[in-house]
Amino acid sequence: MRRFTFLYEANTSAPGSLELENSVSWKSAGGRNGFDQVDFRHELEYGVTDKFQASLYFVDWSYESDREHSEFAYSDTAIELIYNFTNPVLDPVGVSIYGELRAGDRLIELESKVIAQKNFGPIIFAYNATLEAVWKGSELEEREGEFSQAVGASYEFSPRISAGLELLHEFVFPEWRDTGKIGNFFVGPNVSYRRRNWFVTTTALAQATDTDGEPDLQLRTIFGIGL
Amino acid sequence: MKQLESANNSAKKQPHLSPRRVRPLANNPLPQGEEDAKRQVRVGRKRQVTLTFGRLTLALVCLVDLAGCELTNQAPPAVTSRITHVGKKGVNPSPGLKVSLVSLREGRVLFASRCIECHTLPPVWYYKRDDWPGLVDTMAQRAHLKPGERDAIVAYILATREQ
Repeated sequence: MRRFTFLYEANTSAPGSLELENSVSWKSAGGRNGFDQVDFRHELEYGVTDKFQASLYFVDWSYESDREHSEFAYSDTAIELIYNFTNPVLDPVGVSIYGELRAGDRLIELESKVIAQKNFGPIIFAYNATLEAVWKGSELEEREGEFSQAVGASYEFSPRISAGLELLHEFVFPEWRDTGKIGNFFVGPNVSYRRRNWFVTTTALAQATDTDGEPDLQLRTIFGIGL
Repeated sequence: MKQLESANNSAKKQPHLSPRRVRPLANNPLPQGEEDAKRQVRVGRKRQVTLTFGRLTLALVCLVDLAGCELTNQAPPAVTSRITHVGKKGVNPSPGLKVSLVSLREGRVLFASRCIECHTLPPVWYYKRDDWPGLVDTMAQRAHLKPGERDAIVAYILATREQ
């Protein structure tokens, strides 16, 4: 179950549970480097123990369109592991660590996160700090680093519906150099609906900075179903 | 600029790469003439968006503040020997269930970890005593609760509710 789409929550899946999550992200940018891009991710998430979950993204693919070309492309396959240390209800702060490895024919990416969460009755606050290292290109000759922080709040109106806000602040380091650092800030609302063994969550983020080549608008929807 | 051109050329050579990966430098100079005007419009629009979301944030903060009025005692009550005493001597929280400090503590941890997977935790007094076992039963399968774990959660809720 996800209440946020650009953030992770600290609690992990119940042991033995298996969930299929499909994610669709649409990114759109105007200007000279304008483009439209739709990313698809298909994930199987398994609760290994009370505090540990493992996921397999069996295929990540995308549709891209700009002034020069448009095409569907396979991107990568990924594994993701999350370990939970403390509980967001019983402990002062719920904390988890997250690791992900993405590998494709022209992409390798390592991503690690610290996830913090606190539940106050019907309100959930979440914070993610993420560090990414990316190698891409036909011979993986391009390198890039990214550090991002995301904050979110979600209010549960009923056990089925919650809504809130997500903020994403990212720094991109092309070639791991601080000189070409790019800072982007995105903010927007989210809404989540769940029933029985399925849920759907959507977030719309608008870019509050003015970085050319970065999406002006991002819309992400995650649909999950317990198997 | 050279780095920017190099990045653009690199993307042209590999058209499958995401345009998002073509990142201009932060100190990219402003385009001239008409593009300047367009850019000013975009900046203005983004300021509006920022302002709107700023207001949304403020509204959320107010909502959180208001909601705070009903957020007293948010965490499930801790298990004390008094709760166990209530369970054994006062009213049996659920006939046939074993009530011990260990099982009640396990019930509290399970309540606070399995149930929040789908929803936030209601206060134990929110539902009637007789409704709780059935409520937990309806969600036990979704939460992958074994029978003993279900019993521990019910025992914990009923014991703390009676306190």
